[in-house]
Amino acid sequence: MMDPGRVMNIRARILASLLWVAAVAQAAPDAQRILAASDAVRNPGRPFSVTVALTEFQDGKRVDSSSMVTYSRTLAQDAQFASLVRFIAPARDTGKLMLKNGQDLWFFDPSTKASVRLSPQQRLLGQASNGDVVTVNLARDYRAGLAAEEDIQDGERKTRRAYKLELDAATDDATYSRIELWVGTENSWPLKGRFFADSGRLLKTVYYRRFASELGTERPTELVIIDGLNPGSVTVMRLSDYASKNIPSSWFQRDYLPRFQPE
Amino acid sequence: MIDLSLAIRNLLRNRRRSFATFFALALGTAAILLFGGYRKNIEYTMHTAYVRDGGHLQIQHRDLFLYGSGNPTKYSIAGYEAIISAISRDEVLGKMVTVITPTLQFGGIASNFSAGVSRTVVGLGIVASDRNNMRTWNEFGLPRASPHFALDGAAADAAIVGTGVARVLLLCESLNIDNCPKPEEEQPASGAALPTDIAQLAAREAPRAKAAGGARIELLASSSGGAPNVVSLAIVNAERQGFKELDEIYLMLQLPQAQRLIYGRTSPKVTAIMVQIKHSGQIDEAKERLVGLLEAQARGQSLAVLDFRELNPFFVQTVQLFDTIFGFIFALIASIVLFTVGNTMSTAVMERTVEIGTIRAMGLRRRGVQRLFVVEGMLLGVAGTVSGAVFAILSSALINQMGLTWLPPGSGERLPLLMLVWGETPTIAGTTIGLILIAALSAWLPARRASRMVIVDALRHV
Repeated sequence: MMDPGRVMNIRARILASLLWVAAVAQAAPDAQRILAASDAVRNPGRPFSVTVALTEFQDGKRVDSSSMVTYSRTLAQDAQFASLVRFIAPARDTGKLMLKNGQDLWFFDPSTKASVRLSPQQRLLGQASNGDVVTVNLARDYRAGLAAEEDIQDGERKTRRAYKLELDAATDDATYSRIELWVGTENSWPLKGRFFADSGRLLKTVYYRRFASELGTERPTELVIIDGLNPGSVTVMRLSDYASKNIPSSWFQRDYLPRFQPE
Repeated sequence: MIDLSLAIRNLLRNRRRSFATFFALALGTAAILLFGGYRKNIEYTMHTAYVRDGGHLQIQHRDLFLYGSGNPTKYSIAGYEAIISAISRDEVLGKMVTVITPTLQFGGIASNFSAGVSRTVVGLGIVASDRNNMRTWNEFGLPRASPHFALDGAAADAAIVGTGVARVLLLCESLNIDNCPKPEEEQPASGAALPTDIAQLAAREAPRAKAAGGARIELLASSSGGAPNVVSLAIVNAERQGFKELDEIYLMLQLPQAQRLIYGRTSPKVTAIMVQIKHSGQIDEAKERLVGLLEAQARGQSLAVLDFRELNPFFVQTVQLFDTIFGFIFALIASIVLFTVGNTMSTAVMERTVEIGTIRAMGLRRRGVQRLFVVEGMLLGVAGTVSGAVFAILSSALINQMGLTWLPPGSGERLPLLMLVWGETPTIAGTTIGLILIAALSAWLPARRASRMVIVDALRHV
């Protein structure tokens, strides 16, 4: 039988050390953990599908719009997302598929049954280049550092307290050499991201906004992507109809593209 | 000797006919030689242009030439500095070589965002001072040196584009390019307006006003891994490229800038090492030596050495085309000579039938009669071709003095039009001797007929 006073003492010590850990955590939050939490806000942890409506503006006027259903899941071999995109509008593009698996991007046209690999260079411009800011696990490819805790204006022009994270590419697969990401302090919401090229030029700025409850947590349902090189070009991406789905990993094989049947 | 003086006297008996034949021969010879001179001019001009532009030999990845045009950076050479210094240290190659320089070829997208236009380009990263040295190569002594290379001594972010690239990117005005009408104005987009809250967001992101001045473009490219990268370039000059297809994709920039763009985080590489040597005649020797050197130097990489003829099939094809045309013209003129001389000699034989009968009756053998006419034909041939050659040399000298210029096939700049007749001894000797032999041959057939005449019939001929 232990001396009750001693037990109390141990309890007090454990409590104290826990409090101390918490205090330290409060003082210097782990940047990598913040990043992972914001990844979890952007992307559900299980296979899911979502409808994406893209509207493209040039110099303040709408020039193009399209919509598509995206099926995403992480694959066993790495923690990165693979995505299968099925176009549903406009009519001329209906049924066309796009498969992103690791660094490979395949385009499939059902009318010709041909799948074409898009080279990295062919993804430099246009909507293909926007995929890499959406369904991607930043925590896997980037090393995060906490740069500041500051007030910023979010996508709805509200002032919010945010951690400013500096992300540096940690793997060769990383698309951007540097990212600045602002994550809300209270709820790990990603608010704003600035994506930079190797040369230090700003490639795009993304605002995450219109948070709504989807698949169990508050997620952004609208992304405003502003081209850093050509600020007249703005793309608005609306995400809706999040659904948890049992997606087999066989869907993300190139050979599966001709056999793909949407339910 | 008596044959020769008899032949001259016989030729002078009918001066007008002999002169007409002589004139046809001289004109034919001169035409062949002048065209030969023009052919040599094209060959030397193109040879010089290709060697100035890409060197004699290029060290590349084995597959770059055949498979690399879509994605050249996939087939690049690592550790190229070591290879270059090994070549310049080599005692045989070191003496032959004038310039060794690395280049990086890559695909990218050039954009002029302020005008809202972009297009795919093939970028070439080069070492400007080496390129300038390469442009002074002049083994054939062509009169005009290439103009100074605009990138040499220019800023690190300087670039040269083809006039076609400049035109498509709407830079004609700032680069002073002629013949570049403004394109039709596009209809402004009439879609729905951007929601105001988003417009305000975008306005906040508008970059600070750029330092104006000169033509600036943004060049986007991606590493082989797919990471996009972008640099801003100042276009210092637009150079016309010979082919429209090339003119509209051509972009040249400083090598370090290109390497930063493509290899950013990793160690820089190149896609080719160009080697220019002093004398084109040593090209096979240099190639053999290079292959041996590469085997020792770059064990792990499968590299190949290609000469400029393999890299530029257009050059070989053009030379072959002109060789064929030259052969065709030679055959045409040779057959005209054959018939002209043959006709002249046949007429002479006809006219002198009685004479032939007489000298045969006096005891001259058939062979002697034959020789008489063949020497006559040869004499015509020698006189005609030699004066034709002299005429060709003199008139080519005159034409070369006139300072005419022309646009050779596949070239972007006007070059002097030269007729390189003098100094091309094999062509002159071959043409002259060939035509003399043909003249002798065409005299031989009538001569044979003359020698076979029956003496009695010949004497009775009216």
